[in-house]
Formats: sequence, C-alpha cells, structure tokens
Amino acid sequence: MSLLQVKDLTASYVIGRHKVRVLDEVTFDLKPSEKMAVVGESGSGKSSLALILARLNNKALIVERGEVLYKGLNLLNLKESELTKFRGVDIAVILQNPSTALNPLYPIGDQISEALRAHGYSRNEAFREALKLLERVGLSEPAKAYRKYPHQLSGGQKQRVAIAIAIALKPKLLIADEPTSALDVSTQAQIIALLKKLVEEDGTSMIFITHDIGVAYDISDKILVMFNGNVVEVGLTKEVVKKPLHPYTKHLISSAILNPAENRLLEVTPENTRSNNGLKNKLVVGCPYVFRCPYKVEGLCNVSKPGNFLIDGRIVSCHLYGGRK
Amino acid sequence: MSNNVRSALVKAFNLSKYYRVSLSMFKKTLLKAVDNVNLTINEDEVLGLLGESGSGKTTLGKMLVALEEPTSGKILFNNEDLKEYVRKRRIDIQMVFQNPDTSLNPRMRVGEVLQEALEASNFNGDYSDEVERLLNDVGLDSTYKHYYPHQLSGGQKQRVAIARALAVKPKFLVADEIVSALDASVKMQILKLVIKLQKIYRFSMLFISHDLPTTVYVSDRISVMYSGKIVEEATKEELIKDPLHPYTRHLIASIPSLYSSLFNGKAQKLKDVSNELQATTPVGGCKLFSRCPYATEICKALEPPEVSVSKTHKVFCHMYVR
Repeated sequence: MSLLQVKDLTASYVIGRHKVRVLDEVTFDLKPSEKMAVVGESGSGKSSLALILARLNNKALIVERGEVLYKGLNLLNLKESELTKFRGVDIAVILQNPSTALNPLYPIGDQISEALRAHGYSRNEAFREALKLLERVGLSEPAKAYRKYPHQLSGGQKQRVAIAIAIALKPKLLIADEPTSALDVSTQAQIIALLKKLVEEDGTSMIFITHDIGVAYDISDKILVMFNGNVVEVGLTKEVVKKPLHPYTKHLISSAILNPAENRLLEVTPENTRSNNGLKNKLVVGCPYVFRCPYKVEGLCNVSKPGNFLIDGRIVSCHLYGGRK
Repeated sequence: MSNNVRSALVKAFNLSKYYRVSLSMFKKTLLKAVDNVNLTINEDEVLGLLGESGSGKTTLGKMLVALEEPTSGKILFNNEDLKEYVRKRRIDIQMVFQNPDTSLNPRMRVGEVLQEALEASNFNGDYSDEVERLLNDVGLDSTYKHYYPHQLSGGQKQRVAIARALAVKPKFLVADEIVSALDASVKMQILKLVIKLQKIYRFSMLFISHDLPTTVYVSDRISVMYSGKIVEEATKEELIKDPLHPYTRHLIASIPSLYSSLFNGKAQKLKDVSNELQATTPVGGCKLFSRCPYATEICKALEPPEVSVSKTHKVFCHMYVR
C-alpha cells in the first residue's frame, strides 16, 4: 500500500502568453517510511515537483494533467481550506534556505509552538513540546535556545529549527527541498545524519530533493532521476549508483565522482555549453536527452519519446532498453 | 606534475589579518581571520586552499592579490614586495570570484568585457580576433561575444569570467570557490576547463574551496585551513594516502560516502561545534582543542608546532611531535 502515488503529473510555467513545460508525465509512488531522493540538475523540474506535491505552487505554475494521490485522495482537487488540515500533520516541508523560512521578528521557540498551537495544543503543552523538539534536533540548552531570534543562530542551527517545525506534528510525509545545499560540508553531514535519524525514529516517509548524488546516496532507499522535466530512471539507490542504466544517470554519476588520478590526462571534451537553453520552449518530440546523449540512434531517439521499461525492478526511460513506444 | 624543482612565485611570511568587531556598544574584540600563516606557491603550480566558511580562506586569497591589506606579515611576489609589484604590473595577478552574476557588468556584452581586459594589458593586435580566441579557449563559440550576461547560464558566465582573467595572461590566478555555485555536471566541465587552461597558460593558481574532492581533483598541493590557521599542508598524493591532522580527517568523514572511498579508512569525526564547546576553547592552545578526540593537556596550553613529516608534508599538531 503506497502512501503517495503520483500519476502522469504534467505541469507548466505560464510566462506571459507562453507556456513552458516543466514536468512531463511524472509518475512514481512512495511507500510508508520510504526515503526517496529526487536528483537532477538545476532546471530539471525537481523543485517544481516539490512545490506541487506540497500544493505550494503559485499561479504561474499550473498543473495540466495528472494526479497526486495521498492515501488515495487527490490532493490537487482540494481547496485551500481543506489543505490546512493536511499541512503539518500529514505533509510537511523543509526548504533550502532557512534564513527565509523563519520569521526574523519572533523568537524561534514561538515559531515552533505556533505550528503546534495551530493544531490544538494549549499554550503550555506547545511550550513543553517545543522544548523537547529543540532538544531532539540537537540544539543545546533548549530553554535558552527557545528565546533566541533567527539572526542569533548559524545557518546549520537555523536549519535545525526549520526541521523542528516540520517534524513538530509527526507528519507522515516530509518533503525536503535541498535542505543542505546552502550549508558547509561538515554542517551538511550533521544535518543529513539528523534528518535520517528523525525520519527513521518517527517512521516518516521522505522525499529528499538534491542535485548532489552523493548526498542522495547517503540518505535515500530509492532514487528518482529527473532530466528536463522527465523521470528518466527510478530504482533502489544502491543499485542505481552501482549500475546506472540511463545514459543521463551514467553521466551524472561519472561527473560527480572525481578521480584525481585522471586529472592530468587532459581529456577535455567539447562541452555542451548550449545545454538546453531555449530548448524547453519547444515541445520536444523525441527523447528529452537526445541532444546530449552519446548513445543516440538517429531516426529513433529524435523522433519518438521512449516509454518506461522495467529492467531488474527498475524503471528506465530510454530506447536502449526497448523498442518503439 | 613534473618532479623538477619549481621556483617560488608567491611567498607569504607570518601573514595575519585581524578585524575589529563590536560585540556591543563598548565591547570590541579582535577577530583573527588569518593568523600567522606561511605559504608558498610555486611557478606553474596549483595550490588548493581548503577550509569551511569562516576559516579565513577568502581573506587569505584577497591578501595575496593585494585586495586586502595584511595587518602584519609580508608577501613576496616574484621576489619583490607584493605592493611594489602591484604598482608596476597589477595585471599579472588576477582573481575569479564565486558568483559570476556579481562579477560581470550586466550592461556590457561579453565581447566588450573581454576587450576591456585586453585594453588594460599591453596587447597590440586585432581585438576582435583575440576575443574570439579567448572565447574559444573557454569552450564558447564566437557568437557569444554579442550576448549580455543575463542571456547566459551560470556555467557560461563563469567561463566568461575565467576568459576575462586570462585575457591579460596573468602569472598568478586566485580562484575563489569558482564552482560552488554550479551544478554537478557543469562543475565538472568548469574544473576540466580550468585544468586544461592551466596547462596551456602555465599560470600559478590558488584554488580556494570548501569541497575536498574538488580540491584534490584540481590541485598539486593542498593546504587545509581551520580558524585562520593552516593545519596541514601536503601534496595531493600524500593527503590522499596519509591525511594526518584530526581536522583533515574530520573533513574526510564529512563528505558523502560515495566520494570518500578514495580516502579509505582515514575518516574520523570531530565533535560538533556548539556554544559550550566554543566557550572552552583555550586562548593560547590549539583551536581544535574542545572538538578533538585526541586532545591532551599540552593542546590546551600550547599552540601546536609545525611538524615536518616529509619534505612536502607539514602538519600542525602536538600528536606528531616526537
């Protein structure tokens, strides 16, 4: 039984009279207490996916087709007033930049208890629970920390507060959008360890969005690789990293792991400086990766979009692994 | 990476930079951003400077390009005092910054940006040809000279910033976190580009970064900085094989496990920074005292001395004193 099912989710940004496709038939499901990483480069649509799943998308980002089923209920059909009941209790969000996620005018403790009070805690209960949460996310001397303002905390500490707010009501699903990208390496390692511990203790499912496949490797059970709004590969993290199937996943992994021995080989390929600039506006007929793919087959990859093929329990969207759709 | 002896291009002796910061209206304190650092960068060499935010690596970089005045200490460039040298030939020393959005003029086309740099040097040839050649060197075709920065992606903008720095054929380049703002695959392209260009132009480079795998990939030698001090300095090979300082090992333990396989078994986590720990950091002793699992009484009392493990490998830690 899955907790979250996303089916054929297709969305676009509306810019003036133009529409730019940002998600193209995104499909996946997430089981209870499963940790899934979404990886892809900037512009691949991973943050837009997070926004839509949390229903935090503004008017410029519209869903054209598809369903987001949370325990069988389509979140996309809910009104804002109905969503409030889900927020915090069922679905919580952690954003990349904790400085903008916290209110600079209130002590951090009050911001945690606010989340609790909105869901029926009394002032006293909320205060006591907030102290416990501060301790759980590893802030020393909770009573002192409660009264601190965001500007008195470091980036890592602020992210800990944001995590405390997100987990306050023990949500079933936590959506974390690049929560460590703005942090230092050693702080990043601490936050990842903390998040992993907390979701495992509470049995929370997590969707962890990152551009760093190394971070994804440490935190997730399952990985979803996105390119240009399309899901190109889904599988168990350990297996995908060990043996990537889709050409883009292969590229992503090989460019992430730097081997200093090869540094002096002077093998510099003519790079894809044009990448996908300007391509997004056009509706691509063939495979979204065709412009960069070293294995592309003329007359096939540039003409038809690959279907989803099931290979060793993994979903791969590439013509190398099947025929025409 | 040849083994013949290279002569020193940049030498820093006992370099310090202190800032006065106000704690309250009456209380002021000295922030030692860079504290008594000795550093040598040889000709045709890439020195990696590794450290977390606040370790003073950018301040050190800025002093080496004469953008910051040191509080004390001395910098020699080409065996001359840096200040004197800069007065004569500023263009030999260039810097590329982290964020190309703020380092490129939004109102100038790429071609104009590069031409302006050429005009500042003693270049006398056809500007337009040279601009195209420069663009070509950084992997952009000549049509890009008509573009404005906002029409380019982050990676492309960083390429332009690199081309501008190289337009004047510098002897020394400081690259301050040039790939930190970029995506994984673009990052790889820029790293390869920088390595290639270094081989063509043969400049010396200080590569500042907080990312251990990136630094190891690009550099010949690496200096690790913590809290204003250099704690370990070694060649790339030595640092991979035998990282000695507890802080270096902590950095290894902090990188995602996928990338740390290179440094097998040398990872060792330090205690997390917290307020109580910071308060117990001794004034005279080792900066890492309160976080270090190996700390002893001597670490509290005395600043760690320099220990030479090999000709090229230095570590500042009491553990290795024999």
